[in-house]
Amino acid sequence: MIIPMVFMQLGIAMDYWGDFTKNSWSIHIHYWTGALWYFYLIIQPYYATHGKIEKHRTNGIIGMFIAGGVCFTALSMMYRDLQSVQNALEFPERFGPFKPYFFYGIIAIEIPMILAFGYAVIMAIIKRKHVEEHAWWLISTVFIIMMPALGRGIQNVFILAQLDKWPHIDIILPTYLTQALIVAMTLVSAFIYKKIKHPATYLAVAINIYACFMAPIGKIKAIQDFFEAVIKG
Amino acid sequence: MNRTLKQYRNTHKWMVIPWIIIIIGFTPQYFRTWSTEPWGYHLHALSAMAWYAFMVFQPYLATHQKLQQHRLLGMIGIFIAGAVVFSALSIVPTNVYFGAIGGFEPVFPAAFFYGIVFTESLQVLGFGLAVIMAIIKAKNVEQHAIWTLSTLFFGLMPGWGRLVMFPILMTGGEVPWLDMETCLYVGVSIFILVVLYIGYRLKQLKHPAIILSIICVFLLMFSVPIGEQEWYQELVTRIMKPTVPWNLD
Repeated sequence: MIIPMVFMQLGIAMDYWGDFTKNSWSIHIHYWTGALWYFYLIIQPYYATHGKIEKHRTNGIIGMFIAGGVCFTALSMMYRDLQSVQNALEFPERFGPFKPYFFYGIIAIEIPMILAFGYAVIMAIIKRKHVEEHAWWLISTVFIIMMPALGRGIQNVFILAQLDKWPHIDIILPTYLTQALIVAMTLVSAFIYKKIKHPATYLAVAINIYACFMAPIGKIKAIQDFFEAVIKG
Repeated sequence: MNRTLKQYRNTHKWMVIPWIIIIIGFTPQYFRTWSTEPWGYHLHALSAMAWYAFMVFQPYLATHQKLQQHRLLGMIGIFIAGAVVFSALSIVPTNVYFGAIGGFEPVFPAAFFYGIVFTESLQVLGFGLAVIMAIIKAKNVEQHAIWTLSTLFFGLMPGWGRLVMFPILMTGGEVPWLDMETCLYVGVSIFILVVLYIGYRLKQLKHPAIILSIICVFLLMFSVPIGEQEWYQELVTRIMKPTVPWNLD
């Protein structure tokens, strides 16, 4: 569980720590609930397998509290993508390859991702008495929500490597690479734990493949209108 | 059935009252303007309403021989509690914004909004602490119940506070002796008396959940003097940054 945590932290490092003081309060809250969740996924298996089952149970319920925070703080930040849409329309030179459809696409993939995260957590609660089921549903949450952090990191590397070509940079290619990496990590982990045919594996793989369609989905006018109507309130 | 469970046998009926307070309190400034309210407010409202629903049926399940369901739903409830706490913390900077634009004079001065950034955040943290204590004390029915119940004492003021401001909204702030601070003092005093009464009825007057929640609610009366401090205004502005609610952008 340390490996995905490292991937996630490396991915988000530049975006979060690079302009730490400029980040909005809601980003801080979401970052720290997310980081705490990954931390829980390291300590909880340790407690469960090192004779500290009582601690595992109590901490596990506190972990559900953190999971609720991860889920709702992520959802609450969707309006920021709509603000980015407006900014991309207003200052296209500043946003370069990031066109409005990109941000609509991000909302379209992140909302199902967050719901899938919530579903996996609730399944882990329901299956808490079946150790293997419980554990795999929780592990799957790592892969379900890894994309926003890792995607940013890989995209930043791509952009920095081709900065001289700005604004003619392909920003969708790094998304495919990110998704391939996450799907590979999911499948390798599932293979090691013999959970290839598990619904949690299907969910994690499906949600990450779906994320590859961010660009075409973000370009659909009906979806753009839907987000503008619903998220704006 | 043990003594504690008997004591809470009718709690679910009483738990409908906070629901009514919230719905009435938030009607003018949320439910009536629902379609233009910011996304962040909707998420917080949704999670808070779900939490109050849990507060109705969880005591019912626990005291009506449905412990298995109580335990399973309790864990899902903790997920909701996390949503309540962190969605509340996320929207706190909108009050920094209301402070920065000078509040809504003459009724609500800027200092009030700056002040509640601190006093409300304290209540949110108190709510979170109560939930975590309820988890830690899950096997001690009496302690678990009082800590869970105290989430109401930490979390109901936004609804109750709006309700007690109704006289100002109705008079348009034109009655000289009827100002925001008078309503707040009366509202807080009634709230504290109710908490003390519940603590007395449950024989838990000196319980940390009761004492802490009373301190948090009591501090609300100092929202304006706290919010008037320039160093404090600068501090919250620097840390939280004024966030424009979506419907005002």
